[in-house]
Amino acid sequence: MTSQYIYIGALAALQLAGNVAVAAEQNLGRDTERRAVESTNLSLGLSASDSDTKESTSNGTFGLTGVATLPIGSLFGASLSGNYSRTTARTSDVLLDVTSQGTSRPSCRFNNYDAAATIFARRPTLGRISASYGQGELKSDCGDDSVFVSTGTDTLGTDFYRFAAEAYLWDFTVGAVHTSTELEDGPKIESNVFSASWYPIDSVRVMLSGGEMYEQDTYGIEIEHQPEFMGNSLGVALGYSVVDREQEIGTISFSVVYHFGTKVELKTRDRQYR
Amino acid sequence: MQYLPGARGVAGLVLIGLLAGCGSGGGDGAAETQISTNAIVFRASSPSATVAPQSFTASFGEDIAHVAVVHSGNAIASATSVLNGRTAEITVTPTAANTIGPGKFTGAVAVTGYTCADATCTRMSAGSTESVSIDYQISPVLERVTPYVATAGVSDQVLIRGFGFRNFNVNAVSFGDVAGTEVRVNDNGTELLATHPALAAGTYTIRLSAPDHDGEIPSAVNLLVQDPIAFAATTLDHLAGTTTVRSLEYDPERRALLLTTDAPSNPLVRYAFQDGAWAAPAQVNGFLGAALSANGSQIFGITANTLVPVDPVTLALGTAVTAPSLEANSALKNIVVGNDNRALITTSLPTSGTTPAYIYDPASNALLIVTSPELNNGTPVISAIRTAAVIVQGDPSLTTDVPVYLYETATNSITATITPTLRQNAVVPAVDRRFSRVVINGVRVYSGAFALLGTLPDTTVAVALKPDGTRAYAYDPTAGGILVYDISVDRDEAAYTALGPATPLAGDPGPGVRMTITPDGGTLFVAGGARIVVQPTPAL
Repeated sequence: MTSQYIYIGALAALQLAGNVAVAAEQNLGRDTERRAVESTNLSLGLSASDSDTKESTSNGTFGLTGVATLPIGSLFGASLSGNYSRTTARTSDVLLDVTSQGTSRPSCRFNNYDAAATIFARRPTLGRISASYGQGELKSDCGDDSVFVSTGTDTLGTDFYRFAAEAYLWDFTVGAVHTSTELEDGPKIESNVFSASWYPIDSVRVMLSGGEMYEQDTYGIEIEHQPEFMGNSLGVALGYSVVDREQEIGTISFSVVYHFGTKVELKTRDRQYR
Repeated sequence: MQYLPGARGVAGLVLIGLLAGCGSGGGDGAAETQISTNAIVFRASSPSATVAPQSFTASFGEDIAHVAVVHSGNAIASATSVLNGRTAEITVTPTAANTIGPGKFTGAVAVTGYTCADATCTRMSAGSTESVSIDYQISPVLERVTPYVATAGVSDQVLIRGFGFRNFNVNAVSFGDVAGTEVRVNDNGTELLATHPALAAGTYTIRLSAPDHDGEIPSAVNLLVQDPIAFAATTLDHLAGTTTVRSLEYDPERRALLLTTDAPSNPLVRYAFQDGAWAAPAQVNGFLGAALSANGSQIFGITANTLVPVDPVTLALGTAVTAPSLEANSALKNIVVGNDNRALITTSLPTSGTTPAYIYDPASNALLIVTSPELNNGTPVISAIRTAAVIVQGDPSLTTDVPVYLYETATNSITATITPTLRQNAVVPAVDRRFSRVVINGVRVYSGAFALLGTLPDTTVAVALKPDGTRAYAYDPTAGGILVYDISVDRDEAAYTALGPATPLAGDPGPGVRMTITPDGGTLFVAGGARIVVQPTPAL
C-alpha cells in the first residue's frame, strides 16, 4: 500500500509541478499584494464524533479546539493550536446482557490533551507548505484494568511532526500530509493522507481524502459550510471516514467552529487566514 | 486560461489515484485481539467454599496501543491483567461465594485492544474485542433434616433446612435413591417439606434435585431410619435427692433418656439403653434444662445464666456462653431447639413478672436477647419437626389469663395467638410431630391453628401425643394410669371420651410428671419426682 501511495504522490507531484508553476507565473503579480496570513485570527471549535468498530466497541468523542494563526512577514505564517478531547467507549456493546444481575457496566474513557505549533509558507494563489511539531498526552480510565501497551500505565505521551503541502487550483485544493508520531516508549506511527477539496461555492468545501496509517487504508469525505447568514464567522462540518481493515472502523464527525476576527468566505479563509 | 484544463486534470488524476489506493482494501489483522478461551466456569459447592481465580491469555496485534479489560455481572469481583510484550495474562477473580450466596450468576470479561484513531493519536478507536463469558454456580446448602431419625416402614414428612433452594428450581428430593413426594419449598428458600416413603432401617443421604443446577447438589445430610424398638415396661430410679424433673427428652439416635432434675448439684442425667437394658445413669452437674440440637450432635444445656454445649454421649462440657443483660433475680428456665438449630430459651422470675427470652445462635455462638415480647415464666414445647413451639406462660398468683404464644422457627419470632389465653398450670403442653395438635394445661386440645377441638379430664397430670397426632396419651392417676383419646376428631369443644380403660403404669412416677414418647410411638416415658416409668404405649 505504501508504494502505491508513493507512486500516486509522485505522479501527482510531477503534474502539479508543471501546471502549478505556470499558473503561479500568471498570478505572481497579484500575489505580491497578498500575505500568507492576512491578519491574526483565532478560531474556537467544538467537535463530536462517533466511531464504530465492526463487532467491537463503539466510541463517542467530544472535543474542544482552539487555533491562533498569525502572520510572519508576507510569506510566512504560524499557528498555535490546543485540543482537548474525551472519548467514551461504549462497553455495553461488548459485554453480555447481564442487566438482570443488577450490576452496572464499567465505564471506559480516554482523555486527551495536545498542543502543536506550526510554521508555514503560503502564496494565497499557489498553495502552502507547513511543518508542525506537537505534544500530547492520553490518559485512560477503563474498568479494572487499562494500560497502554508501551508504557504499561494508564498514561501515554506523544510527540509528533507533521509536514504538509497543498496547492490551490481555482476551485480545487489538493494536498498531502505526512505525520510521524512517536508514542512514549513505543513505536513510531507514520501516516500519509492525500486530499482533494472542491469549492462549489465559496462558502462550501467538499473534501475527499485517502491515506494510510498502520499500513491500512483510510478514506473519508467532509463537507464544510460557512453560511453567509451567520456573518461568515461560524462554520459547520460534517464528515465520514472509514478505516478499511478486518474490523472496519467507521467514524462520523460533526464540528462547529467560530472564527474571531475578519469575516471572510470559507474559501478565502482557507487560503488566506488558516 | 489555457492551463485550466491541465489543473483540473491534475486534480482529477489525484482523486482517481486516491480512490484506486483506497479501493485496494486493508485488514492484515494487526489490530486484532485473540484470547485463549471464550468461557470460564466457576463452581462453588457452597457459599462457604473458596473458589480459585482463573486466568486466560490475550495477545494483541502490533498496532494495538492500549488494552482495556472490562467486566460486568456480579459473578466477577475483578479482572486484572499482567502485560508481557504483546501478551497479557488476565486473571478473573470470582466474587466471594459467601458474599452473593447460592445461585447461578453470569458475567462477561471483554478485552479490547485500541489503536490510535488519528495520525497524532489524540483519539483511540477500538480494534477487535474478545469476550469471555463467565458462568458461576454456587450450590444451595442443605444444613439438616428434622426430625433426623425416622421409623423403618413408616412414610412421614420431614423438613429439610438450608438456604438457596429458591435460587434454583429445586423440585425433587430423594432419600438415598428413593424419591420423596409432596415437595414444597418455602418462599425464602430455606425450608423444604417432603414426605419420605417407607424405608428400611439404614442411613439415607438426602439429595435435592434442580433442573437448572449443573451437577449434583452437594449434601452431607442423612436421614437415619431405625427399626421400632419395643421397650419393656419398667422403672428407672432417679439420682438420690430428686424431687422434681425439670426436663425430659428422648434421644432416638442413641436410645437414651436425657433429664434435668433438682437432685443435688442440678444434674443433667443420661440413661442409655444398651444391649437390651437400661444402663446406670451418667451425669454432669449444674443444669436447669437441656435439649438436643436439631441434628442430635450436641445437647444444649442451660444453667441459671449460661448455655453450655454438652456432648450427647460422654456429657463432656463445651464452652459456656453467658446470657447478656439477664434481668435481676431471673434465670434461664426452659430451652427448645428449632429446625434452624437455633434455640429458644425462656427465663423465669421467682414471682409473676415478664422477662426477655433468648435465642442461642450456634453459628455465632451467641445468646441474643429477645426483648419483645417478654414472657411471664414461659414454658415452650416444640414439635418433632421443629417448625414451631407453643409457649404457655403465667404464674399462680395471676388472676387473669395471659396469651399463649407461638414461636416460629422460620422467622425466629414469638407472636401471641388470638386464642387461647390462659394461665399455665403444672401440666406441660404437648404437641405432635407436625404441630397439628396442641394440648395445653393438660385439658384443652387445639388444632395447630389453635382452634379448640375438645377437652380432656381435669384429672390429667401429663400428656404425650402420638407422633401422627391422632392419639393423646394422658396420665391420669385418678383413673389409674394412661388413658387414650382419639383427638383426630373435632369434638366442637366438648369432652373427649377415653377409648378404653386406663392402662396402669409399671410404677408410680410421683408428683410433677413430665411425659414424652418415642418417634415410633411405641413407648411412653413418664418421669415424676419419684422415678421414671418406661411404659409401652397402649394399643388403642
